Amino acid sequence: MRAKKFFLHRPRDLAEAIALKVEHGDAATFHAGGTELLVALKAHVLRYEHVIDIKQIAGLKGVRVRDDGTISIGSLTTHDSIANDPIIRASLPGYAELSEHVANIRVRIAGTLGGVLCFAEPHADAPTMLCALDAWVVLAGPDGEREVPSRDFHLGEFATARADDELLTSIEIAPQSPGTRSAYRAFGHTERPAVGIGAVWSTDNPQRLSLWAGAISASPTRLARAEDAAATLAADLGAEEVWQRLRSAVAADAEDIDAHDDLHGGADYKRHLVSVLAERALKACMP
Amino acid sequence: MDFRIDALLPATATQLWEIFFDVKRVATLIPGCENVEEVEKLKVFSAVMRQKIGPFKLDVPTRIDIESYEIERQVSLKAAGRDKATGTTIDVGMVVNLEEQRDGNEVLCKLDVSASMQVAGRLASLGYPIVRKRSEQLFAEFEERLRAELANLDGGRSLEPQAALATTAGLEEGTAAVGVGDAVTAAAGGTAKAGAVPAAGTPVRDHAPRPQSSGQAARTAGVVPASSPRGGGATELVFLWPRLGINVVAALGVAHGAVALGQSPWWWLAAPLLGVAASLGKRAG
Repeated sequence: MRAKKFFLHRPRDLAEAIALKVEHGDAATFHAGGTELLVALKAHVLRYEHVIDIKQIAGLKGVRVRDDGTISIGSLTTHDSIANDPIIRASLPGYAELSEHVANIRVRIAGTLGGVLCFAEPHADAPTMLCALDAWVVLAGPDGEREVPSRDFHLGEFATARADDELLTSIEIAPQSPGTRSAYRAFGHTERPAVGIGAVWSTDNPQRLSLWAGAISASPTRLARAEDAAATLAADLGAEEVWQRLRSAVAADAEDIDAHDDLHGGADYKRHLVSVLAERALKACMP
Repeated sequence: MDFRIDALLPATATQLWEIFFDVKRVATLIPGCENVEEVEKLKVFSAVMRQKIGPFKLDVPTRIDIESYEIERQVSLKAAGRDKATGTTIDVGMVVNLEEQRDGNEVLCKLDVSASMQVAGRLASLGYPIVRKRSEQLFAEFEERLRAELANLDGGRSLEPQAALATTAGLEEGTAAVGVGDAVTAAAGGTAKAGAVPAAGTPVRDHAPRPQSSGQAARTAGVVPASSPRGGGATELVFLWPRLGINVVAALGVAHGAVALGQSPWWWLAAPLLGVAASLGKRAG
């Protein structure tokens, strides 16, 4: 099917894009990579009279390191660019590995990080890992810019904290200490994950684990019991010992997740996957 | 998807009936239900259901048919509609049962709402859990609004957080039921009778009469089909079918015979008019 006719706007800067959105309101939408939007327009499940193509806006692409060491990823940066970016590969190899395996090559080349976050399809990889990394997003709107922690950004299926006339401009990740390692493990029968686990293990004092499960419920879920248990572990334990001490806490966290049966698997199966993938992600973080 | 609301409410069956049999009033309790119009008196209504899941919007013109009702006891209805843009269809069947109970001076009414909903089409491809979750939200919101509506009933009767109003939603197979409601009750004059109502949060199950199919309902003594005359209210004239067709054909035959026998050609006009007039019947509103 073809998409219904719409007016295509190509603003050159952020202010112009936001002004267009304010002008046309619900009849307009932002368009970045198009891997979600164009499919939905062609399937006629979404309809807009105005599509605001933001790909021409300078400054929304690429990865850079701010003066304080914060890694800033422009919202228009594609998954493929992230996977191959030297800064990401050096500082966040776990996230680079995730980006290498997002969906398929066509999606990785065209799809943008900002797009996948704003569309908020629950079965996505990046949101889980960004929550584990304690990232935050920068939103620009008619009233200026604001920052929202990634953990508060995802409100549910196709719902985020972004206001309709706001544009996600960048994703910020705090500098990682030398003792911090991260990993993401996912499994699914389709191109989308049935369950994804993001883990960040820091051996700095205090020892800290950030463990999040994604795709299994409406938005990424923190595995709080496992995180709390990890904080009490001795620092010199090996990977297997750490896992043996955390497995019951992870299983208890998994039981609490509001999982549903769907094409990606049954709820019990997905809860089982949480434990399996958490073990793999955790061990991948261990030196 | 099947949904259920079981409640023991501090109201008379008459009071609840006023809400549930007034389709325009009950429509205001359903989130996103707008533009309710009566197409055929006490039988067919039209409405528009508007829903939004993230960027996805539904705008479903819906036809609501009241299949049968038994005054102050039961009403059964079906609603169906299709969103033209996305091809998404929604079918809802709902049976509301009321059973008045007396406990001393206390009058309570058992409310049992059973509904089944099917969503199909492109938007349903978003995934069953998402559609089910939104449906559960709708029924929970319906319950909230119903509670607020009941709180306004009859002035002196107030609702206190002790009665039982529980909503359950589950799969078609009836598994994985999820309780989303809490409990409310009240007694006349604001005095709650703990013995008459279950504890807060306790779903009430299987006490009210089970919903009947429309066929069963029609066979049950006292059940009034939606098109049947009812006592009271305004009276309207309606054409009775198939009497209208038979009368007009007979009238045309009479006119033909009259003209053939040399009578006035005005018979061609007068006879059918008489046939039409003889086909009129009264219906009480």
